[in-house]
Amino acid sequence: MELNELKEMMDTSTNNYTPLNNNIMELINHKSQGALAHLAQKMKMGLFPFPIAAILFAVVFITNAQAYHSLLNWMLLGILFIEFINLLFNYGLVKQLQNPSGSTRENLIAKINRLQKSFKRQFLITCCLYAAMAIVLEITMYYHADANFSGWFKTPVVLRISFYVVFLVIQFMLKKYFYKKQFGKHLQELQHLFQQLN
Amino acid sequence: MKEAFLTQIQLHEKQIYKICHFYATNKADMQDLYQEILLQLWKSYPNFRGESKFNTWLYQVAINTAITRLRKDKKNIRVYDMDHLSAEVQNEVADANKEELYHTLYAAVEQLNEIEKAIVLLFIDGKTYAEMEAILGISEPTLRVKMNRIKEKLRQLTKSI
Repeated sequence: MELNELKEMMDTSTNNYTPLNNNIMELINHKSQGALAHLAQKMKMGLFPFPIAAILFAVVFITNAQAYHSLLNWMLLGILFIEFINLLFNYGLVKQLQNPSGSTRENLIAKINRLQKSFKRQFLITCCLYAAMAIVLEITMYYHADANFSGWFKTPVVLRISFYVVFLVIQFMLKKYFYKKQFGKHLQELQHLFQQLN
Repeated sequence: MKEAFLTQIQLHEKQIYKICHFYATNKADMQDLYQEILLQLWKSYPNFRGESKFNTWLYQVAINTAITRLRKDKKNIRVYDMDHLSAEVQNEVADANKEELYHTLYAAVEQLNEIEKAIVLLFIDGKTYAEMEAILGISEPTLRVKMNRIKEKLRQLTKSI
């Protein structure tokens, strides 16, 4: 029988096998070379510009009173914060995807669920934050006249709301595209592996 | 903790070797996979509370790492490469008939899917169905059915190779 023969051969051959690398301690001190580890590293590097930009904003706000009262600057800061949250979210997801614990079935289910749910959760958070930003912008424009937004404030409310909706739809499409680009193939592979279990 | 981990790994190094042997595409890939498995074992080691046997836990982490890793080379081309067998394996199969049989069987196993390979791997290591269930999360009756299918598949594949 084929499998028993292979078992016998493997047993006898691995009795005298040569270890791939004796220095286990040295190996575990290296960084992971896997594709997910590379993606996590790339995302980590992508996180650094955000605090730097926030510090720059803070410096500008402290030194320039006009900049501090500019609604546009606060909006840019808001967008920066939302995108930072998004990237942080994805970084956390990649870290979780590297977890190899549990039986193969448990591990695959956990990873597939995480990947399927995280986009919805992430988009909902982004959507709420952008919607909140639009509301804050509307309220601020009402109480505080800003030269940069005077034209926008004069635009009919219906048009303004339509623009916010279009902005959110574009956000959804862009986020979905990048999410698919980053995790789509991995999700497909995990689902394929899960099918093999049954 | 490092000392305890090192002792355990040295005791179970053969199993890691077998997993790499099954899932790697060539010698360089085998080295990469070996390092990745060791790293994941080391990272997960603080969470090992001894609820299962170390061997079972090791297999869970190693198989999950091997089957879910994304290779950097997108094509994932599997090249059957006798060089990535250890010198000892090659010596063992030096006898012409044995070598041919080993070559044929190994080439057949290469064509199985990732989960089937894991089942074959655990069978070769002498694991019981209960142990396989704990590692893979596949119920015992399903495993038995799968094992029969794998045997049949290997029979067909060895005939066609």
